[in-house]
Amino acid sequence: MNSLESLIREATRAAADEVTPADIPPLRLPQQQRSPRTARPRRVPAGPRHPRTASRWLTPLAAALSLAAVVAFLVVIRYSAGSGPGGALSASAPASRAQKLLAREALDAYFPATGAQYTAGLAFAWTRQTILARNAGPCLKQAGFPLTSFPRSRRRYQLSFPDNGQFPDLAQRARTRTMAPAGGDVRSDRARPWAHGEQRGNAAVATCMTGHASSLWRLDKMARPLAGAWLADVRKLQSSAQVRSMRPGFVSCLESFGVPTRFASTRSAGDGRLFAGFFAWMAWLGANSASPQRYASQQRLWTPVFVTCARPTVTTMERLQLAARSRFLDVHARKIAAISDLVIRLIPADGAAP
Amino acid sequence: MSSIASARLGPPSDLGDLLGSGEGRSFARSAESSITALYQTHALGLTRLAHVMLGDKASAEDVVQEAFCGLYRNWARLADPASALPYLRTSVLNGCRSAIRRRKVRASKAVYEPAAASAESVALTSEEHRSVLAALRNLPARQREVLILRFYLCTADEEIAQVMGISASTVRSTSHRALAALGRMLGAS
Repeated sequence: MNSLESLIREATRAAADEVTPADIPPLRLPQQQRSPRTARPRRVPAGPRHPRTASRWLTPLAAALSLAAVVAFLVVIRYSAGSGPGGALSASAPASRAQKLLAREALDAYFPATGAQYTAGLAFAWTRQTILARNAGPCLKQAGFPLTSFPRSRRRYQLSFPDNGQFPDLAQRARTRTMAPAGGDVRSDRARPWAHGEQRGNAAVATCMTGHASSLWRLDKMARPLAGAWLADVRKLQSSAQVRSMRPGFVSCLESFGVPTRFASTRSAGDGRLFAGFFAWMAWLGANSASPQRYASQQRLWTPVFVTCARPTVTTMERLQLAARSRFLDVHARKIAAISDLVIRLIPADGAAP
Repeated sequence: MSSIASARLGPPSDLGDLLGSGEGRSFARSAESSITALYQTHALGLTRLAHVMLGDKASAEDVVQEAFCGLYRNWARLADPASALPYLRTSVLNGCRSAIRRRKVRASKAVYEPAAASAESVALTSEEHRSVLAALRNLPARQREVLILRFYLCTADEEIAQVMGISASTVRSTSHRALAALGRMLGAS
């Protein structure tokens, strides 16, 4: 096989790997009815014609009764299933566009591979938090575990929890020219809004969750261990020799923009280790800024430097992470499908805000 | 193909004609379960094939859904259960051709057509891969399909011939011409 042929093979396989089992929608077969193309006229038996006065009114009556039965059935289904957020949807009901979008956002939230996916996943985190606050908020407050407040706007929520340590969204950083919203941690590498917010292992909290947000409880129970396994994979990738080999370039890039060497070459353990030099520099600037306004202007100055210097590292690690994610979703296809199924039941089919 | 082999195939009449009778209803149920099993086994592979052809996940999903709906409508006419997968592949190829045709018509009328590739796709595929895929998608339909079936699915010439409804020698000559054309395009770019 020559190089062109192997290039075609690699390119087509790479393109094919973008489709994961989670992308496959459920099969929707057409209604069982005679298609117009195959319908044949009914043969009328020979013989004397009988007056068909009964069939003249029986047919429309039967049609009306059928329609009424269908409407009654739908009404019963709607009321028995519970149409509100957190209510169960019929298992066979096809997911609407809004529900499919939420399912994708949920996969981005639990299994992010890029900064863009992490940010998209925050949209799901917002929806989850909104449902939780509405359904279980009062109970949790009474139990002594009030939920922390969060932005009521989904967009603001997405901007509020950047994870620059593990999943830096360089496009968002370049657009907003800040590493984090005012008062936020520039690294924020523990921002997993879906993973905390309520105290786990507490009986009163468990009672609130199972009693008032059972759909979220089931979802968390299924998704959290898998998300943990995925994040462990991400950590391994980000500690791999291929990604670590990008560090000297990052450090020298920071130095070329004027970050002092003692900060640029800072080493650290944990999820923010790749860009530790920059975070150390920003921490020093924060500690030595005379006012929050001054620190904000420092961020406007230095965020583009981070975007420029981190880009080669981020490109390398995102390429590895996307390929690994594709394999991870393949391996856990059954659980992923179950998670998606639980997510689409969180909101009504019309996608009305929870 | 074990799921197909175990499926009971009905009499050689149209599914629609049978649906009114009791036999027809049980036949329809059997068709549904067989097609659902086929979908679970092959939907991912076929969607990936369509995605390679089209470069667009949503259209690929639609094409595959249509192919399975077509199989359901024509299930009773399928003489041999083993021919279900070639039938689906042919349907997917036809669906992709139609989708590309519709896209071209739309593009000729639209003032602005957003890029089909998602940010994820851009991040995942390298520059070299993107140029190969772009060149592949610029080939005539038959050449593109032959190359994708041969190099992505690693299908034998005889099987490609069966799926595309052409002879094996035409597959070989088309593949030769397509590789030459692709080489020229990549060389030029």
